[in-house]
Amino acid sequence: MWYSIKTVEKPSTLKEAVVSLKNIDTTLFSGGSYLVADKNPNIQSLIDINDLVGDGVIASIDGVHIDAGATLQTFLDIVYSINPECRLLKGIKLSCPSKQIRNQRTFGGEIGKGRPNSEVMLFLHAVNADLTVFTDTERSVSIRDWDGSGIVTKISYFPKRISGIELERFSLLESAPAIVIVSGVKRKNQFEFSVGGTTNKIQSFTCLIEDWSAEISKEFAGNAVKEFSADHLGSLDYKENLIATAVNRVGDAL
Amino acid sequence: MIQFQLNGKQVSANVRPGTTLLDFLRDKGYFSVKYGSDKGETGADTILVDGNMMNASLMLIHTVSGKNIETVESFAHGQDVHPLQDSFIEEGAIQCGYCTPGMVLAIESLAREKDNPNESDVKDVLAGVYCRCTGYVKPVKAAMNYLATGEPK
Amino acid sequence: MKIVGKKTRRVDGLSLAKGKAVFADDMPKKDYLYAKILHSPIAHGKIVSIDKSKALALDGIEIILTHEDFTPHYFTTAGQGYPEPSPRDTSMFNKTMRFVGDRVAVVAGESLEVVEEALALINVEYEELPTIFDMGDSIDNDTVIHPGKDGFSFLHDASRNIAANISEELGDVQKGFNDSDYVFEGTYFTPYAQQCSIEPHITLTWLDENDRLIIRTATQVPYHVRRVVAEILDIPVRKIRVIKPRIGGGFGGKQEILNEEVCSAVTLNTGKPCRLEYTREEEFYAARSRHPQKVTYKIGLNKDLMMQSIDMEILQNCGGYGPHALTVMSVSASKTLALYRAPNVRIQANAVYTNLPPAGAYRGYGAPQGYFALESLMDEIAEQLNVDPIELRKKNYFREGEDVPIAKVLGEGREGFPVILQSNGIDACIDRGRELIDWDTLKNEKKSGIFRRGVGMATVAQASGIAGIDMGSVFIKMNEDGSFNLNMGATDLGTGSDTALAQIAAEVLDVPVEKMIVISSDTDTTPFDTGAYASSTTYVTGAAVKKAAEDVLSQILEQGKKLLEVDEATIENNQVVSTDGQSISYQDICTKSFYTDHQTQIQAVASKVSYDSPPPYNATFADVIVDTETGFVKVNKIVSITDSGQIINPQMSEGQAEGAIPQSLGMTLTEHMIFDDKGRPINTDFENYHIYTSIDMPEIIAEFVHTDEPTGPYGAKAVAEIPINGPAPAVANAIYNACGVRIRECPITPEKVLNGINQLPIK
Repeated sequence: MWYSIKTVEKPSTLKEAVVSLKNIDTTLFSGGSYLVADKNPNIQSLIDINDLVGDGVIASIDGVHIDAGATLQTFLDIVYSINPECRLLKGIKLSCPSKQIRNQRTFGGEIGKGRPNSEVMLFLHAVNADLTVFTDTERSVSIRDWDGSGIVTKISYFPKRISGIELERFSLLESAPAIVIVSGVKRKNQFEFSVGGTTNKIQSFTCLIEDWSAEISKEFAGNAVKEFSADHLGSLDYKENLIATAVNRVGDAL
Repeated sequence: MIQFQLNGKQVSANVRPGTTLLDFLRDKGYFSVKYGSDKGETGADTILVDGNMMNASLMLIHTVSGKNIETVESFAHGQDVHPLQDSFIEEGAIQCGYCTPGMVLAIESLAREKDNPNESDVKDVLAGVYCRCTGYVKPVKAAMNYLATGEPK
Repeated sequence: MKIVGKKTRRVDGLSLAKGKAVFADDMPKKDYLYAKILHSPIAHGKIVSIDKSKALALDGIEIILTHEDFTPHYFTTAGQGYPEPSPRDTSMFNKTMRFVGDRVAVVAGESLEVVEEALALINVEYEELPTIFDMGDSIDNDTVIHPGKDGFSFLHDASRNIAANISEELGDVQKGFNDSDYVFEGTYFTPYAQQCSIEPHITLTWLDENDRLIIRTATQVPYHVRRVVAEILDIPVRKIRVIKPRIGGGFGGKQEILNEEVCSAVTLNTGKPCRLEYTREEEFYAARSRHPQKVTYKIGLNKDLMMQSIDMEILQNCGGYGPHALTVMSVSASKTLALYRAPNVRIQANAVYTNLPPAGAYRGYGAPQGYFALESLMDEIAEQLNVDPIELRKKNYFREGEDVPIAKVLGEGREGFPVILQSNGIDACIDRGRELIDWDTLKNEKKSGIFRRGVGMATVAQASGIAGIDMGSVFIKMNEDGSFNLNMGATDLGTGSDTALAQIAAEVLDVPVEKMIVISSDTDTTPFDTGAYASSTTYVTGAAVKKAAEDVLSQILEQGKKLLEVDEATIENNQVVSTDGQSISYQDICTKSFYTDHQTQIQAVASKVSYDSPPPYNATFADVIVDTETGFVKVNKIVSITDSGQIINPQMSEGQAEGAIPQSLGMTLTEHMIFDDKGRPINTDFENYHIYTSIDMPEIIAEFVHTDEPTGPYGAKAVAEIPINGPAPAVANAIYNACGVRIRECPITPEKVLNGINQLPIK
């Protein structure tokens, strides 16, 4: 029971939703798996936008378009079934090992939560997904540049623009959230890496393919580790090494 | 007033908006759906929603409007036992039994969804149903026996 | 044998598979008061004042109880036999808080919502006291955690923060070392780990129509609950009935009087039914866990590899209170020192108070901690002497016919009983495990590359109940359809004991298991049993079942002879058959006995207390891969081979081992309750406390070798706990074999492994 909830609003347009959202005791409700797990007692009103955003996924070689209301499982059913060996897609599965939750968690909710130890987020950063965001009107913004404002309605990426994609994750168990996740793509003449895990934020690095070396991955790791903290999972030195190893493995695989 | 199908019957719920489906179901005596944790990890609260496995504790009541909910109570009527449940008993896959209804629903959803699922498919759907007794060895066997033949071995 | 040793479907399988209302909370809604505990936010401090006025003013709040409402009555929450060998250092509500999560108050009201609101409105003023979080700092610290409790029952030395102490020596250990050709020593650590039963602690209480207190609770120890609640609340035992329905896993966590007395106090004070359920978060910091232990072994051997002296030292963190403090250490010592023979043995152990959560009983009960140390050191010795670790072990095992002197010295808080080994299948366990893990190939193959594979093994023992203490009793009566009621206090915590015990009765009575109607664990309707712990149920209660069933069987025979009017007869296929060929069925015997001829109820009671506690043995083998760039360890395969004497139910026994293995792997590699610098728990959910799930599991092979234990029912020894002892040292040994790094501290995190790799002279 989420005691503090007094109302669930179902606005008829996104515009209405945006207006309602301005109340501080109000939040957007999509799949609900994060919100209902947390049961934040300061929230009194939910803006359920499930009827306003689609829940489909269209995947073709020209582009992948994911409605914000699509669940992680819907995406996997469509994309994972095409390429089950892809480590990156397997990583997405492990972003949420519970299939029950994958059936409930939406892309919109995942992006809204924006947790840096989400393989889904690392994937979207790697492919540099475009978000369609509604504030007053609709606009398109790269996920790497999005400031968190507005309502995400659609996510698109274009496989053609990248020629390779990889992911490495280090976690105590497959089912455990990763300490370090590194995703990487090959785009034109460069490698683009994103680093996440138990960290404050996802960070991205690029380098020309011809400049790629173990030294560069060490340099990336040295910068990336600044957003990590020492904890029971490891010291900063150790985490720096993990990041470097992950970047290296992703780079080598690319 | 929220209306939905529950184990084949139309039901209506007139409850507060913050009510989870777990609260509602246990209140109505559907005790196969259980509390294990607050974030859905244990999956003791597993149910099927339009055939898909979900966590009842993470669903607010308004989201099930018009949906078709199934719990293990619908699986075996009277003296009958569903072949999947029978396979769990036959294979020794039940120890304390707290997670068993969740496991049964997980395997059943897999059986309906996929032809010839393999062991890693079974482990995938059980990843969200924690069991601290069996080490998953016998539940996976029970599932595979059922999935291969529709019957316990 | 027709039934013992054969696959038998669980007697409770159908109801569990169907999700029937069999657990404590599965009750049609009464007008419960919902109760919740207000936990201490500070690790150490005195309650100066409690203002509950605002909370009480809330509509729907029925009662709030705190230490102000009771005169202190000191007891232990440990669910043990009387007198409990744990320090009586706590009361229902204490005035001093000793860990974050300690109990300040209970609030009960009409709904959980109003109760939670009330919790936030109770204003408690604390006078904070200095804290101790490191167990190494506890003894003789200026801060005394239980001041003024010197002389309390089973509390060793309150003023020095020592909850319990063991100091025993057999022979002359120092002389043994002096006479040894080699002496080796190692110190090992195991952390706080949580039982994580999927069903949390839950208790429901109400008054029945005769105003008796009914306690329906998820417990492993219904009779101890009844005794302790009666004592704390000062009501007669006859006014209490404890019912244990099915329980959703225990693993020792429910061998505790955790909330039953609080829930009962609410009901007694209000006259109303009350329900108290822990959340998952509370399970992590306000329930019990495995005692962290630092164990040092020093072992002296001669050139012929025979041990001369074993010196064992334990420092154990028992947290803010001492439930099971003494006995867990005692088991760490008695179970490990019963494996290898040495003429000189010494044990020095201290359980110390800290301001962290009190630990308690957790499957293995000290033995996993002790064996992680002993079996790691055995491999280290073999490595340094360049001998085969299996040969080193085999030279030193106690063998059949030998006396195990440590058992007599280390009882459960009192002197134990002598043990003469009558069955020991350890060699067969090792031989089978060695084959299944492909030991000889994998151990000796050259290790190279980034991902290195290694194998390791460990051999372990446990016991079968607590000699001279555990007692089980049963009542069997016959029905006119040839079925039997089997009523017993024994507590099935998911292990399947109801089924195994029914098998024993059915075997004796020569009927199918379906003819046994099992009722267990209800203090009104079933006879006494100490409860489900110490791997006792099959061995101890099983013997009681056999005795009672044999009594019933001889009554059936006698009654059959009377009815047939013959002097000689035997029992065959549910009938009494005379030598001259007449026969009478069980049904007819019972029906006539009820209604027409020689009228009587065929029935028997029996009790069993065993002064033997034969050790089961186990060899565990691990196959692991180490990522030498990151230190991550992946377990490929665990082989666990156990000698539990005659197995009663093979399938359920395998299940015990298969479940124990991931629990041990968790403690070894991933599970670790951690606290911040104020003693506040950090990882109180499954996102941050990592237990093995289906996708994490290695391949598991669990098998049993056959031995025949003359003191056990049908030759049986215990199963439940022993498989949890081996995986930790086997994995540590396998990591060493893979990459040459020896980790002596669990959990073996990747960073520890990588640091080890980085320090190797040649990588």
